[in-house]
Amino acid sequence: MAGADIPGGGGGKGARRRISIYIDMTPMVDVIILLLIFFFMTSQFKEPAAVEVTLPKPGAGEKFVKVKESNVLTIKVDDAGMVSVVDTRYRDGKEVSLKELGKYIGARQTENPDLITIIDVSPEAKYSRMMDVLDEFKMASEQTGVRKVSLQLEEVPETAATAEAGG
Amino acid sequence: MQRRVQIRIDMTPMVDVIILLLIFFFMTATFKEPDAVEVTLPSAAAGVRIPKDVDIVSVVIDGRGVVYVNNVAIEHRGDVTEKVKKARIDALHAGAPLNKIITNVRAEENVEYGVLISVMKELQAANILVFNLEVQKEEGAW
Repeated sequence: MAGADIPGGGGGKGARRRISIYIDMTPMVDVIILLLIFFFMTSQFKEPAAVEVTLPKPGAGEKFVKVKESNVLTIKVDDAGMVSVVDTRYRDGKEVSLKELGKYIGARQTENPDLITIIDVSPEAKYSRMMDVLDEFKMASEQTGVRKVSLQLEEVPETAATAEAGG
Repeated sequence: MQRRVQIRIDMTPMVDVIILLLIFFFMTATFKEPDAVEVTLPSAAAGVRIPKDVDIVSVVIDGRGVVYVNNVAIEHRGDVTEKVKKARIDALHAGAPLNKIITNVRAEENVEYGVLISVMKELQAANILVFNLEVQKEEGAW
């Protein structure tokens, strides 16, 4: 509201009055502050996020724990990033697309809550592929509650360093 | 003749200050400490927020596979263990409680997984068995 404020009403006495212009900024300020608060609250801050990984103690890989073959699900990622699963039900491994992987792991975990998932990624593959697979595993395990996973850190399977993805 | 007393408070300077303050907070809130290298993190939906009240020992792996510990490039691969241990001790000396020191691995998504394997093994050798793999939270997953 811009009001030309002419004080006094008695006018007409010949005295020239100065016209002062006041702009009432209160509503504008209110709106500005509200808008700023709104943008502040709704803007998505890039919050750092992470996947926590827990490794076994050094040397723990030398101890062997026998597990039934049927309790193991190996997910392999080759140099090119192709994902396949080694399942006792399929002799030569089965290629699984990343989209199906989560469902597949979930289904296997529901069948067998003792299932240990081994993620065996080729050192030549891209890191993001390993994260994709780990992500799929985590999303599946969040639903089933089966959290046993092992990251293959060694090329020789016998000395595999296992890692449990916490969360 | 009685005049109505009109009280006017000139808000212009206040508004100026408010806007300046807001701009200031806005700018300082979004900028974070620059890293030695820019990395594109892999995206994952399973990522959880990193708590804010922690001391972070940062291990950064860039696209060429160069490893940085607290923004200092590691020249020899085997030195990561030692440097990370030292960084943790430094953080302890600075007064951070042990359980609040977190090791954070920021690795470029396109780097070969083999580099990660060797870094993870070095962390294991340093007896850092719990660490974070930093990711970019996937959109719409919150």
